[in-house]
Amino acid sequence: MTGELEVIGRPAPKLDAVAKVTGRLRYVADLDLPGALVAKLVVSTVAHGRILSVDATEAERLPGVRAVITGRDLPRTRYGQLVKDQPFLPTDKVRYLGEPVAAVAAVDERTAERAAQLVRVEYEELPALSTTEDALAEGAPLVHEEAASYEVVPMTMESPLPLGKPVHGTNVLFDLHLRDGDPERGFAEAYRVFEEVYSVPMVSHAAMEPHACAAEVDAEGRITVWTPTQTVTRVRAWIAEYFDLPMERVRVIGTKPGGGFGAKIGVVLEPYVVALSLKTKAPVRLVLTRTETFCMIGGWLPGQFRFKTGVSEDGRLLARRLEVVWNAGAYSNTSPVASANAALVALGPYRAEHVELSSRLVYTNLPGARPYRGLAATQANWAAERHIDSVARGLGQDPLEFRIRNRLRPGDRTPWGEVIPEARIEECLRAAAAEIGWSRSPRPGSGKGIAAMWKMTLPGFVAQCRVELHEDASVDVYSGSIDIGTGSEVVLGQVAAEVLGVPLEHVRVHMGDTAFDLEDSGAAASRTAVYAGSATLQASTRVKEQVLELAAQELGVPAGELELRRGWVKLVGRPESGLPLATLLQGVGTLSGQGEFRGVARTERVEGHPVGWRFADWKFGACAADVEVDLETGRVGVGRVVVAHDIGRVLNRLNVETQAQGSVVMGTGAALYEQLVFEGAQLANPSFMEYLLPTALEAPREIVPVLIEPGTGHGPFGSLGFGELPIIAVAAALGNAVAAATGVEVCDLPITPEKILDGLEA
Amino acid sequence: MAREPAVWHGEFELKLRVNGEERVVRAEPDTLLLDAVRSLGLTGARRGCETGYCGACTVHLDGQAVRSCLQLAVRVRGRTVTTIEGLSEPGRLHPLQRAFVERGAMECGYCIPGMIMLAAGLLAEHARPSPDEVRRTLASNLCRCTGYQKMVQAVLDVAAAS
Repeated sequence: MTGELEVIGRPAPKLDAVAKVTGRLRYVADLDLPGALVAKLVVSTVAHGRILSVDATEAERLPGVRAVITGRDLPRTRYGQLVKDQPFLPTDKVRYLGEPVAAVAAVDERTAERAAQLVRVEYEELPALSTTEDALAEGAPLVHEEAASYEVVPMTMESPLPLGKPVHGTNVLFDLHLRDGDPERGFAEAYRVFEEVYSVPMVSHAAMEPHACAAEVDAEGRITVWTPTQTVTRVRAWIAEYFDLPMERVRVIGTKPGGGFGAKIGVVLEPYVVALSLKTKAPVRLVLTRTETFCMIGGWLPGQFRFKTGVSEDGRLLARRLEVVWNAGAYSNTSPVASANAALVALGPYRAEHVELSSRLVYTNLPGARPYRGLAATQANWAAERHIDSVARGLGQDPLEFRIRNRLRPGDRTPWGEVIPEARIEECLRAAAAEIGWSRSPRPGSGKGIAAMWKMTLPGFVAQCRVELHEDASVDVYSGSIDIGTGSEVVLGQVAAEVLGVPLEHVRVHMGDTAFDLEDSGAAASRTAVYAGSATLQASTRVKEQVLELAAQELGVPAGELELRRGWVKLVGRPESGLPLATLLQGVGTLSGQGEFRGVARTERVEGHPVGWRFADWKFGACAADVEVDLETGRVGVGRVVVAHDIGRVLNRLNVETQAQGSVVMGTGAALYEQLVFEGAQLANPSFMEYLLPTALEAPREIVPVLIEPGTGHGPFGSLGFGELPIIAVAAALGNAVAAATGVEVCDLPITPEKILDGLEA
Repeated sequence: MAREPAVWHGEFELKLRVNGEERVVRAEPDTLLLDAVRSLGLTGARRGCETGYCGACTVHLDGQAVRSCLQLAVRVRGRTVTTIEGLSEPGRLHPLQRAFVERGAMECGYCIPGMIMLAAGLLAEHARPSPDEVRRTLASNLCRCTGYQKMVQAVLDVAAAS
């Protein structure tokens, strides 16, 4: 089918584009829910403390208040995607400032706010741990005293990622160690050894839509939840499990998220509105303010990276040691997987004979870190690619050629015992370098930087889709995933249109409602186009087979000699002949097909390797940037940023370009401006006034995506997942460009003017 | 004992000219214009921060782009408000809306009405802005998804066609 694609690759606008530009798209805050009560959370005023009492008497007495819930109204079980460590309303202690301890539902916003203020909570304050140093110190108080009793959800995938071991009696949630080769010997034999420490602070997702959710319980006790979650079907399963309800009593309707970036993965606000709705028998909606969103949602997983790298005289990486310490905050969310995955990523897509890795995930009293575009690969890449650059320059070698010399080649093994089938790192690096004009010397005061990236996706995730072809030759596609703004609806539509040979305009796409009864692991990990796309491809193909069978009978020719094209059944090689699809389908009824795609480990394992982890796919890319630094003020102006990626196949060019441009600006924000500033455990900048996001003026002057295709991805038409990739190497490329422009090596994000000026003075 | 708050009594009716029609909204002294228009079902103006930084709530007040979260409804009594829903005739797209669709200048869409209202305000004053003028104008509002580049191009497309 490839080579003559009609709909795939076309820059078709998103299916909800008109609804978006006319303001008619309804987010959860915009839904018309007659009689809905307004919910408000009562949050902790200490970062770490025992709850002595919660008194809701006065709040309950306020006219207009319909219900107040505390921890006693919620199930006793804890929630967690991997480690079940989170009570939605704790009864014993609070673990971060802004943690919900009670929730109210009232007839209007004002009453709900007032009632929330009237709930009296008494605490016995405990010392708050804001840094991993504090949390690892001898005699530090424990954030989770009962951690040893927490249930760890088994990773059911065929190649589970070893997360390390918990260290009970400490704040270490997981301690992971990996060794390959003989690092001591490698360092001893090295011509030179480089040691550096890098860090990243917590960075907010800062989706434009504040977190929100609504729920309604009908007379039969059936619950409907409207949520902008990225994981619709999984939220349903979690809600059913948490409230101990049969699955069929819970329906989750995914409203379009106004940005997610990982912050809307898993259960966030759903239990509060469900519990309040169960208690009041009325619909309940909770919409957080921006400040509440900042305080409760936190940001990505911050960490500190200590590298030691030994190189040979001819510039080969010989031995590497990396120690990462991650600040998980109060609850683990997806951090166990993020930390392990990102620790591997931090080794970079490079050969090295002797490797030693340690990664420690530590509880503190900050808000629990959440997955963020790239699952911590972005944080890891900052450290990894700043360090590689520094090693190259320390040896007097060109950072581009140094990377290419040390890159992983197809067939190479990773330190965890996986054989890499394909690795187009050199192509990506050379493409980015060519586009930025790497060989040309920069103007004075300006500099160019480059960084490579890789990212792996865990196996075991699933997507199911259903395709229906009706008598009028129009098509309905159903998916359990959700379009979080990336345009996956149009991509699924394009896949179905391509296979069934119908115009895209005749395809309707429905996503994110558990009533479809289609399983999906969610819009995360650059998966939707690949997973739901593949399931749609399968489902469409099953429908196509039925159509061709029908046509074969009708026309009296073998099905193998027929094809579907532009709404017609055609004889292969005879475009002038044929039968309109709608004519063929008259009186036939709806034809339907279902498809399922499961990510499997596609790589080989090194025979006898003690670890032997395997991933579902491998993605490679590079970023190159040029910057201009004002040596008086330290201000960094970003000129061009190029992101070059092995994408396999562009399914929709508009989507891919916007994903790339948006990623680069998000990465620029993390590189230069963004940081959740904690004074102790208190978030000091929970507003857009103090938490700086890049605007159209701070964005790079030009962003150039270079998309390398075709390829051999496991997605439809050879595609690979893309949504997270282009952010990953941006910060490191900018840091390397700043170093080239100024000679200042900033090691801790963000690269602020103060740090540059300090470096220039030193 | 809870103190009774001092200000929040007194709901009253307020007349506004919204998208070409006289509308009456129920408001209190501290009701924001944002909530007033949203109470009419015009939810294209959105709450992103409520402190005037993100601009997702941008509407036109007497033809000028303003943040509706920074306007008290009572202070704009009787004035003319245009929201994204009133930017074009029903069933038709404003040239900016069409350009945003064609360029693919959107992702999640939450900020898009605000951005388009901002751009429409700019083009009403300057039919042919420079790329830098467009960037400066759009820099009033925040977008987390798109990277701004396609939005700037979309506004320039419309300017070039005028």
